[in-house]
Amino acid sequence: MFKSIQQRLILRYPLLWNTKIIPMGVLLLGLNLCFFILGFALNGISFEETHRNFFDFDATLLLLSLVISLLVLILWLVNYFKNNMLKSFYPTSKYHVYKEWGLIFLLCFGISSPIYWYNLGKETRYRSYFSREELEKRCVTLRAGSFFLDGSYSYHESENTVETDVVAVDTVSVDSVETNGEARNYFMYRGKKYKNTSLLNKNVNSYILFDKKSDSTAIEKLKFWLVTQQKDSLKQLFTDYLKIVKEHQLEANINAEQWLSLINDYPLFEKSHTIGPQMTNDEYYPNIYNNQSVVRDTIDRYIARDNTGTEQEFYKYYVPEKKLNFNYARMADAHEDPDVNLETLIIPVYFALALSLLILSFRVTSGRSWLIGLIAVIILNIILGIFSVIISSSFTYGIGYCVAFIIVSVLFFNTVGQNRTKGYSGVVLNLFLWLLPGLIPLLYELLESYLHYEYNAIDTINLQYSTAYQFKQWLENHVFEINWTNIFLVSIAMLFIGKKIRLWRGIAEA
Amino acid sequence: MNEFEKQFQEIEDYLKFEDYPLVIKRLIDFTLDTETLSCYLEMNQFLDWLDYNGNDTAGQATRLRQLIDQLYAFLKDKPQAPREVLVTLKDVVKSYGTGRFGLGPIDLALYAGQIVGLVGENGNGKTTLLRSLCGELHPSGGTITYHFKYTDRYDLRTQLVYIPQRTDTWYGSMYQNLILTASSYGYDPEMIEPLTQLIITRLGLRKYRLHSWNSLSSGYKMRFELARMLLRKPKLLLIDEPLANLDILAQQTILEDFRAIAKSPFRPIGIVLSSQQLYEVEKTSDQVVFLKQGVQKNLRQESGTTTETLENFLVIEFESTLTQGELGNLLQPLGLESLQFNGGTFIATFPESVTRLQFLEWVTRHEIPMPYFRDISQSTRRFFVS
Repeated sequence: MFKSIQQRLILRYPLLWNTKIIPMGVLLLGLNLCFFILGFALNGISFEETHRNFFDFDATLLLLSLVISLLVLILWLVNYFKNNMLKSFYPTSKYHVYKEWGLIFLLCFGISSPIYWYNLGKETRYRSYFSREELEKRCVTLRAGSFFLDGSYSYHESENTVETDVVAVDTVSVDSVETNGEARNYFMYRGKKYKNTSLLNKNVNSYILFDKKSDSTAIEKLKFWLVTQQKDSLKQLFTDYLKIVKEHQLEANINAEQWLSLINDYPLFEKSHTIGPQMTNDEYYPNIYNNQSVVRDTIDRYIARDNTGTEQEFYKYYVPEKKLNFNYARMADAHEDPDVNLETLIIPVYFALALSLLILSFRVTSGRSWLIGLIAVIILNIILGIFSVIISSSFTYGIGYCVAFIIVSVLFFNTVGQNRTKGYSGVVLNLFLWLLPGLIPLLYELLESYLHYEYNAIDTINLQYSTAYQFKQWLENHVFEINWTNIFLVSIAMLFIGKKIRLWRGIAEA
Repeated sequence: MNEFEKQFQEIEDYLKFEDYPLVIKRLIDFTLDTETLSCYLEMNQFLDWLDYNGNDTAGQATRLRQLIDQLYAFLKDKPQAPREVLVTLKDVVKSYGTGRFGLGPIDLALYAGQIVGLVGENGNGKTTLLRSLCGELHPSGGTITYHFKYTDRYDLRTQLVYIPQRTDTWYGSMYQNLILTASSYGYDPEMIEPLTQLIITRLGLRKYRLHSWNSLSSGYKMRFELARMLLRKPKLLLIDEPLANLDILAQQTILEDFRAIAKSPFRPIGIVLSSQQLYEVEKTSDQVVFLKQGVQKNLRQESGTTTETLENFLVIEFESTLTQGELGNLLQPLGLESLQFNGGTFIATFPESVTRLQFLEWVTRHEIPMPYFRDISQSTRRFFVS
């Protein structure tokens, strides 16, 4: 089949045949699909995990993708460089160079993206466990359950901060009230005074699916249930929580009834039992804590020897909260803030852009010009680097880059315009193509440095009102949009540059 | 009798004398002139038949007769291409810097259907002139004017094919390379394969089409370059030392091919070739340009379609056992103007009024020993020796 497609292409679309777009496209699609499948297959969630494994597949697959991509690139280049229609002066359309670059860019993207597809497979797997709605429902239960488990308490500086119904819980939190001397040791809630160690002062473990307001509302509801003794609601919450535990075949040593009785120290909730987030002995409190002057709730913990014979402190009552939290957080991240998105896509796209321009410049000039160009770029960077260090200015590199770009642009377009001899313009063309994609990012850097310099002169109080500060904030908030715009503009510029490259090819060599 | 009829008559004569390989070659040329798929397919059919029936001479004669008649019927009314001027060079100079070699000034006009031979010793500017003509070198002075349509410099260079002495390596199979060339030149996709097959057969490459470049001899590499050139339909073919590394038979065959390609009644092209093989080039070329340290010496003056020899002397190159003095005494009464001894051979110059026949009669009459003799009045050979 490939043979007949290739035969058809060579007869009708020589450029497509010459770039080997069909066999390479199929190969790269297959490769990327394999990495997607690997990402999906190797990243099933084991609810026994509480943290990332020391050995995971990500690093191995990254290395594997690099090796395979390199091999595919070499294989393609060997075949692609066999024929060069431009160097042979075969008739080509005015947009031939642009089309050829477009095809090179596509293949380079395919070569540089397997690890991206691997991550996409991984996150697709994470998303495949539950729908967004179901996951959110479960996370609501887990978040609420975490309120009744060992964890951090809120910190209060004044009574006013706790009199409102909704408080930002994670603005300030402490693991233990004794550790902070400045904290008040009580707080007000619905007109009553509670100790900071009261269960009513607990925080929750939240998920990326929820905002701060949602967390505050959830805490407020739980506090309300406690102070109004809505036992049925609390029991239902614990039942739902333990149902999730059971569903994932995890272990808890309390049931909903016990849980309720352990925490429900009405009305002050000062002597509520601490329920641990973990059952296994891989997370423990070393016995050494007991030798220090730290008050431990020995009612809720006991000392025992672990598998190695070391004495450890264990919770008497526990649910597998750490396991659930770790894995549901992974799933929530995959739904709400996946690593694979338009922002991270820019990495393989930039890589493909740089690689495609390197290949195109080699293709349209010569190996000799390409190598001289490479050495020139290295020397240019060394010189600019040395100057940047000597002058100690963040502007030096950017300005040097822009000046170099302007010089090579003028030289190249002048050569095309004069239509006499190429001379050293092959080297110039290489430099022009390589410097092109870095121009806008460098201008961005220059502008940011300038704005930084500008608003440094403004006093702190008026800072946020200054135009320079606001513009810098805008630039920082739109860094990805600016980079996508850069890629888009380079792609458009290549249309014009491609036409000039074709004309440049026609100029006499000497 | 126009050019087409003249060439057709030649084919009839080849057929009469049963010179079938030559008939086939020339018939392929005419088939290519038709630029029609049905004719290509018919010729290919015959060639396929021939692969298995090479010994059936009677069958060959019958089929060739049919093809000749068909092609004649097809082409007799087709308008022939005019022999237009392709490129003119006016005071063209190419300098490589002060105190270094410089070419020119060169004044030249090249016509479609014309073969121009460039001769001269090594390092005298033949390659520089070819590279200037194909746009690879920019003249330091003077003008090169191309008299055909082109949209830009790149487009111009697609119409000028330059085959250097050391050609670039072709990668992959030869056949695939030729198909890619044809496809790039915008032939109808259905025509590409039959056309490529015909050109391959025309240049005697049928057996080598699936070979790789490195497995070919220099002669066959040159032939593949010519095959590619034919697919490129250039206005001008510029070829540097095509005869180097070829045996004498291959040289004659390739020169004959050049003639057939250049002189096509329907698709004539201009050919400029450089060579050290003086006699062979002179036999084939319509115009010979001699370059001595970059300076041009034309043997004949072009004026449209006619050519005139510039200097009208009788110049004879010969070998003899007699001494220069003895020969001088013997030839003086015939009007000898000069006698040079040139590395084993003598060059004798006589006025225009003396003919070659008179010289031979004189030699015979005076029994001058002469194992080798050549009239070089019409040859650039005399530029080499004088």
